[in-house]
Amino acid sequence: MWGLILPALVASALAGGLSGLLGVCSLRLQLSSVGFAMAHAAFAGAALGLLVPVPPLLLSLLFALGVAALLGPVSEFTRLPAEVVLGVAFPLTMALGFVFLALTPGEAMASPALSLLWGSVLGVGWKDVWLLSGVFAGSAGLLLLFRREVLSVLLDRRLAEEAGIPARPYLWLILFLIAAAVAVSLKLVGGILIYSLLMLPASAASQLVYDMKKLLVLSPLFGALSALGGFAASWSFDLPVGAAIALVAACGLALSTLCSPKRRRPKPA
Amino acid sequence: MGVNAIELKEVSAAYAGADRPAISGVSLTLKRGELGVMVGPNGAGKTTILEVILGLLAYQAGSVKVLGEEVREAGAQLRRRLAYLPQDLFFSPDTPYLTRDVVVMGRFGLYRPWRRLPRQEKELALSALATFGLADRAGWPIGHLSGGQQRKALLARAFAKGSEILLLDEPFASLDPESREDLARAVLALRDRGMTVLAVLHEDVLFSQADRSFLVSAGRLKELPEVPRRIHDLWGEALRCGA
Repeated sequence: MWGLILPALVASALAGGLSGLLGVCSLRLQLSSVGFAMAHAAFAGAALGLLVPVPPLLLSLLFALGVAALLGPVSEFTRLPAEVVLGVAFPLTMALGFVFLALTPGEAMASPALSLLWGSVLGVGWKDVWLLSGVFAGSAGLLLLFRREVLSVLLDRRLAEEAGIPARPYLWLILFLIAAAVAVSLKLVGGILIYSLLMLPASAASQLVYDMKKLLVLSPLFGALSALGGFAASWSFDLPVGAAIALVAACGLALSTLCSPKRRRPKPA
Repeated sequence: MGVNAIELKEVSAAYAGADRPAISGVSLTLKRGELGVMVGPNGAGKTTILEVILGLLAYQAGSVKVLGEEVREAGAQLRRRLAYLPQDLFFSPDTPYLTRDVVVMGRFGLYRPWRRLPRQEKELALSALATFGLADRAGWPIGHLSGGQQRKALLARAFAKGSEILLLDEPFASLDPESREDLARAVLALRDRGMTVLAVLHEDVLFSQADRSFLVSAGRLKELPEVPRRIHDLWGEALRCGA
C-alpha cells in the first residue's frame, strides 16, 4: 500500500509548496485568474495529448507556457488589462479541451482524461514526483537568485524600473514559473482546483504577516500542509483529492483570517 | 559641473496607438541643484514630460539629455541616478513590505543578482529614514504609514539611493495641509543637498521656492520669465492662450 501512497504523498507536499510559493507572486501581481487560465490551458493541452501521439504532460506544459507567453504581448497589443486577456483565455482553452476530448476516439469523456479536471491520487508515480521536485527546485532557485529583482517588481513595477531593474523580463519569468507549476501539478490536483492551491495558501499566509520575505516562506508551508491534509482527507473519506485539498486550504484561510493580526490595531513588525 | 541636469530640446512624444503626440516641441533646461516646477491643466502633458526624462516613454523627435547623457542611448544605468514619485502611488495597508525594505530596494539595481547585499545597505536605509524623521517607522509595514509619511519614505529612498535628480508628480495630492508643508520641507532639504528637483504641482506649496517655473498646456511648454508668487496667478494665462 505504501508503494501507492508514498509517491502521491510526496507529490502532494511538493505541489502544495510550489503552488504556495508562486501563489504569492500571482497575488501580489493581482493576477488572481492567472492560475485559472493556465490550468485550463494545461487541461486543453493534456486533452490534445489523448487525440494526437504526443505525451499529454508535454502538451499541457506547452499550452500553459503558451498562455504565459501570450499574456503580455496580447495585453499590450489589444491594450486590454491582463485580467481581461486571462478572462478570454479561460473559456477559450476550456472549450478547446472539450473539443479535443469529443474528437478523441473511444470513451475519452469518461476516461482518465477527466481526472485532469478533478485530479487523481492513483495516477501519480515516482516519475511525477521527480518532475515536481525538479520544477520546485528550479522555481525556488530562480526566485532565490533573482530575489531582489522579483521583490522589486512585486512591490511596484515603476519603482523597480526607477531602481534600474527592468520589470518586463522578471514578470515573464514569474508567469513562466506559474505555468510550469500548474502543468506539473495538474495530474494530482486537477485543472479546476489547482487555482485554489495557488490562491488560498498565499491568501492565508498574507493574513498573518506583513513582511514579503516571511510570506514567501509561510505560503509554501501552508500550501504543503493543505495538500497533505487534503490528501489525508481524500484517502480517509474516499473524496476526490483536488476537492479535498481545496476544502482544507479554504479552512486554513478561514482560520488564519480569524487569527489575523490585521484584524487588530496595527503594530510595528 | 557645467553639464545641465536636465535638457530637453524640441521634444515630441506620443503614446502607442495615439493619433497625435502628447507633447510636441518641448524645450526645458534645469541646472544641477535647481528646483523646477511644472504647472498646467490635467492632460496637458506634464506626466508625459517626466516619463520621457525617465526613459519610460520613447520620444519620436528632439533630444533629451539627463546628466549629460542622451536618454535614448543610456537605459537602466542612467535611471539609477534618478528618483521618481508617481502621482498615484500609495501603498494599501495590506502591502507586505516593511518601510526600511522599501528604502533599501531603491539600491537593488546597483547589485548583480548573485552578489550579497552588504550590511551597510540596511544602515544606510535606516539613516535615510532618520534624516526624514521616520526612524521609528522603519520596522512598520509601509502601508501602515500615513500618505505623507509614505511619500517621505520614498524621498528617503531617493536620498539613500544617491539620486542626483528627483522627479515628483503631484506629490502633495491627497495630503492634508500639515503633511504638505512637512513634505515640502523634506523636498527643499534634498534640493539644499544638491539634488535637482522637477515637480508637477497643483498647489502653492513649494511653488514660491522654485528656481524655475514652466507652464504646460496642450502638449506644449513655456518657461515663465519669473516664478509667480502663487500658482493661481498662472491659471488665467494657461486657460486663455495655452503655453
